[in-house]
Amino acid sequence: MIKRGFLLLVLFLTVFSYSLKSQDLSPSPSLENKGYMLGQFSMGYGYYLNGGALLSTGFEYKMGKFFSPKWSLGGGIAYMQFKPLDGLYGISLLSELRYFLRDESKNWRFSGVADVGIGIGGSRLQTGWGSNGLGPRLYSGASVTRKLQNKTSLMLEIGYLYQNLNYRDNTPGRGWQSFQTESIMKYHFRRIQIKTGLFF
Amino acid sequence: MKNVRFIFIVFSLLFSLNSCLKDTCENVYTYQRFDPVYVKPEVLRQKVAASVSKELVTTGKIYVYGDYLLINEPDLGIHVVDNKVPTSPKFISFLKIPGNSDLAVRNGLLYADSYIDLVILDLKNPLDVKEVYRVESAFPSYGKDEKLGLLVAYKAAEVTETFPCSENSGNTFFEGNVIWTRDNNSLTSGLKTPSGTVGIGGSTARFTMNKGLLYTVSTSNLSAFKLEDNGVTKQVSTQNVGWNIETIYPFEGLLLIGSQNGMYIYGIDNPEKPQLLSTFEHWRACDPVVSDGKTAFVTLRGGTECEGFLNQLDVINISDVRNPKLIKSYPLYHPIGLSINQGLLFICEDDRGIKLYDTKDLNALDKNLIYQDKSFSAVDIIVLENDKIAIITGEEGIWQFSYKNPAKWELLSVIKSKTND
Repeated sequence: MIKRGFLLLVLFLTVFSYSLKSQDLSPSPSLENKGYMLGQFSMGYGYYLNGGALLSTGFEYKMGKFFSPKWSLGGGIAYMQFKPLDGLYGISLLSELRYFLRDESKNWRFSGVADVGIGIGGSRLQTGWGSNGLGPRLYSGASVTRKLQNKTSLMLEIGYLYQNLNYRDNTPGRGWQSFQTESIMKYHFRRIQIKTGLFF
Repeated sequence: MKNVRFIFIVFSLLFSLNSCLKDTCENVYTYQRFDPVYVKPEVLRQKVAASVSKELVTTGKIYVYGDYLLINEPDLGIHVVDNKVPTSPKFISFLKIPGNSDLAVRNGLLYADSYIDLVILDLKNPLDVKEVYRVESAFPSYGKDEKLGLLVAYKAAEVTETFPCSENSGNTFFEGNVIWTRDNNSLTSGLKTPSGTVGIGGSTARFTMNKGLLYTVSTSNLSAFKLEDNGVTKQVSTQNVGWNIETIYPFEGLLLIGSQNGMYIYGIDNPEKPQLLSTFEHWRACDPVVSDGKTAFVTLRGGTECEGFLNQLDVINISDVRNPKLIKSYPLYHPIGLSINQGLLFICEDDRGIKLYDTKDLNALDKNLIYQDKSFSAVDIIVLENDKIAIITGEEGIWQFSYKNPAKWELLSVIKSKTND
């Protein structure tokens, strides 16, 4: 079910990309003031420990500045549910470097992006969190931006995410069995991500 | 458009590489592993004798006998210390007693456990201590192996291991004779207490004496041994007294037994076979107990070793020993050993040191704190009434104070253990 949904999404994005025409609006309003805001909804696809395919969902919000006509640097926050059933999620602070293949006069542009960040995990199964350790996050991807109106562009992006999150389980034991359990689950999540969002 | 196609092809390839998309997870897990301790009978039962003194490595229970301070080195033996001058204690010999954790002295004879045996040593000349008698298998054993010998104990070791998250381990499991557990407590409570004190005023002792009898408590049994002056010792009774028994304290014809579930009051009208008179139950916690005859003071502590979450002092009216009644409970930090002497209540509060209360108003103990010292860790205490000296054991060693002025103690000496240097 999940796999089928993901493939449909890929198909949609592919068709959407091909349907884009390059002779539309200009110039890109978001670049006029050399700054941008980017809100994205993300879907991640990967295989969990037992081999089952998982569809992860999340969102990201970033702000950035262009420091040259084609390069921008930004930072933001990302949230992702890695395993929704167990509520394994991560919240990361990140900084991204983005390179646009085409200049801002074009109505739609391609870009490559890489971000690095650091995240902390949480889980619905935990009795408390806050003692969870920090883990690194690495992402790289490619996107296409289509100008929608004067100050808004639609962005589609595909990329690969690695995120390490450490969940500390400190559930108190029950009855005679145990007083306290402490284990640190060091997850290494690997996801191919498809993101759609608005570029302001 | 070529760019879009290129991107699509690249990521289609990525989809086909499952290993690039597969999550991995390792679980860093801390176990308590209990390794069996086997001792060959001929090794266990080698005659104990005094050897040259050695440095104190880990502080165990202590016992005051005349001018001597006896310090248990858990599982290894007993240090004999000349404490005639408390400002300058001197180590004079070491008694190598494998598996030792408890001790008591009567008429110059030292009674000490050695795993499952009870050994009796002539202590009249501390430089030339000799074994005079041994009660073999006086305490419960775990069995034996034809090749390895007697299974006398399980020794806890903390092990941290990393394994895939998909391997789900249980709380406790066996692998041969090794017991693994996620629990820090489920087995240790039945083995050796890490430290403590023995003596008339001691609160965490498992050995005590009364009217020519030695009473010992193991995890679940109360045993009585009849003592002869020549060292001959005979086990006269043993009875089950519950589970997770921790301490025994004698007072005026009573034995107060502290367990993790409550306090048991035994009468010794028939000294060779103590009779249960009453029980005062509480939530699960460790609970050394002392009494001045009318009132019992029980410290409850929770935590890894003791389960439970209570940390308090219970003051119990035992005027009617068949019907003990709680007078009041006082919250404390992490109380362990305690002592009551001439209306003064001494309480060891672990890494928050020692507290001294005046017990003139049992309903307002918290308003009658006379003295507190947080500068060291305190586990248990012996009070020498005549000299007004408090000997306090802690993880870092042994402290001796003069409390002639109860509100202003004077430090006499410190014996540091090597483990905490």
